[in-house]
Amino acid sequence: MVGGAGPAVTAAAAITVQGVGKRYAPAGPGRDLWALRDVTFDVARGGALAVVGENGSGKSTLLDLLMGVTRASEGRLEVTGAVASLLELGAGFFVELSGRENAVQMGLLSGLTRAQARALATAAEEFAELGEFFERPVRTYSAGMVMRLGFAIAASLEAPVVLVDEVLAVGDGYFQRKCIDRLRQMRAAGATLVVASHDLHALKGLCDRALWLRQGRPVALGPAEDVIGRYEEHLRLKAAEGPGLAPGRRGTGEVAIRSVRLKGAEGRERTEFRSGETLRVEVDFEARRPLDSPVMGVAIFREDGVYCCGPNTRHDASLRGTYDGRYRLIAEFDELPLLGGGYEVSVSFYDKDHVYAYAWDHRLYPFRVVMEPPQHGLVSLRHRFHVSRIGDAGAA
Amino acid sequence: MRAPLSPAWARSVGPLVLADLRHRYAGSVLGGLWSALGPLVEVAAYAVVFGLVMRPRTTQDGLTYALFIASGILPWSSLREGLESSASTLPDNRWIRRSRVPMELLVARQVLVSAVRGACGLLLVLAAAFAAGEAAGATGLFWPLAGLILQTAAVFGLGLIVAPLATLYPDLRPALATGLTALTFASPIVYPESLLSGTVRAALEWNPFTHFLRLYRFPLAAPSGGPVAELAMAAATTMGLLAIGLAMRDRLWWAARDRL
Repeated sequence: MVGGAGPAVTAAAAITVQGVGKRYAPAGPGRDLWALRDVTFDVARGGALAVVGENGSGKSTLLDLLMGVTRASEGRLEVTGAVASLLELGAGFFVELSGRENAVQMGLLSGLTRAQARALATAAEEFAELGEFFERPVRTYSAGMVMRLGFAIAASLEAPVVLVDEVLAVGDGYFQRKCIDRLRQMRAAGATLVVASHDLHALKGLCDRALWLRQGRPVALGPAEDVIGRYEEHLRLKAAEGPGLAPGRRGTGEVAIRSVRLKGAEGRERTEFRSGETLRVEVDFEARRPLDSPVMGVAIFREDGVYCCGPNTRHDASLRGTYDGRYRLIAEFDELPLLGGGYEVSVSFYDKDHVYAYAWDHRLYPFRVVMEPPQHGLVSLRHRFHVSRIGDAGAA
Repeated sequence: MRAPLSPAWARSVGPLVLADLRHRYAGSVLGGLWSALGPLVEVAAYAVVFGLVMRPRTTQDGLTYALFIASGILPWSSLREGLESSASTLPDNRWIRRSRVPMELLVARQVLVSAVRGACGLLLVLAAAFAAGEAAGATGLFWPLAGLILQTAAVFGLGLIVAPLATLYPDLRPALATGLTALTFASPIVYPESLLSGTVRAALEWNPFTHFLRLYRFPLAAPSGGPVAELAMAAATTMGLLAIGLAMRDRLWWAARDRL
């Protein structure tokens, strides 16, 4: 439930937010700005809430309020238990101190004893994998290294409530995965998570509920799959109006896409198809280590970025198992219902929970569809027309 | 409301001060000497202009006068640096807005770094004076040391107000710098009180720094007995500034946080 009087707060809620708003006064003349308004939700102990929304939607303000680094202008907000957070790259770090010294500082500031703070630093050192940089001043770190240190410390604090803002994106693919796995473990161990991110796949795999914010107001609150699905749809519609995610090659590299061929039903490689023909996408890939049931997907985009369809193997039990070495994936689209125009194929391999991409070639394989006579719209749906007389006009 | 001296941040401040002092001159050839060089040049300039060129109406010779100025300028520079760096510490560390690091830690670090430099400078000057036979015995050191500790606490209290206010009102930073320059000459730092008329001397009693100065210069003056009244005035000033700073810091800090 969003807005209004709010839900009945469960006894087991770790986070309770009721009618919360945050107003910022402008530095100069001008009207007050509500960065967040009418937000109501609760997160059960051990639950995980995804916060989604475009830039400037109020996600960071919400996390700031939960962490207690800013105060709500209206409403009520309660967080039970100690909070560990990763809100901003480098927040809380003293650049002249080393990674270890910063970890000890953070521990002391979180109320640990000196011995506990030193143990925290050792745990963070192990997780961050910064090598000898852990003993060097943070000013010599790259953004990715600062993120590694920040996450490692926040994760090692073992707080019952963990808040993560969009900082994971800075890390490399390997470390992003490591972070997501760690967040999952923390959740399994009973921690409550609130994660704001633009990595919607990761959020779906990590969180059970989601809150979608737009211009500081809640749009939807509910099961993560539903809310994030609706948000994705919103983004797709928006992308159809403007540029979407740029074509390119992404992924952690655990799968290598060796080749992608577009073929007709006769098995000949080509780039032009008639509407209604069969399109066969042949993907040769290599699993570079044994991978448990990766989710394989092939998507088709119109050349202006409109997402047409994107089936994947996530719910296909017959393709589950361990993959190691070279394989060929074939995706067949019978009776291609696309209208005339330019299209692009995306190919992706995700982990079994569809959270992070091992390999993702986004809109890299173009083809054309020809259609005579031309039709307008997005797809050609099989259809019939019937006309029958229903009596004289006005007789009924 | 947080405890006034929450041990969580108080335990953190030591390593930060050390790192700051270490880092400040990292990679420079002269290193920490730079922190002494600036005030030394200033002292030398005053000594030459007022001690030799203008020959003040005092009986002091060049060396005595140089020691006299140095014993005032060094703690004053420390105060000035502590306040000015407090005023810029929040904008310089904008990340603090989204962290649990308390503002007190940043202010305390700046104030302590400048206090350590001021203390080192003053102790060197007093040691030089002692070596030159211009100062009383080591027991007299109690008064300047007590003064320095009180001054550091007072600047910390003031810094807790100045730091958020300078964020809320950016004009405060240049105003502070200008005001402190004016105060340099409104305090008996480069001139001895003996040169002043009775009215001006009475007015100086209202300048809190006058009392701190008398504590710093006690070993040079080598009188009998201790400046207990000066210590009491300095302590009262410190208590007042600390009380105001601790009372106002929360409200000011929450307002400043949203502006960062």
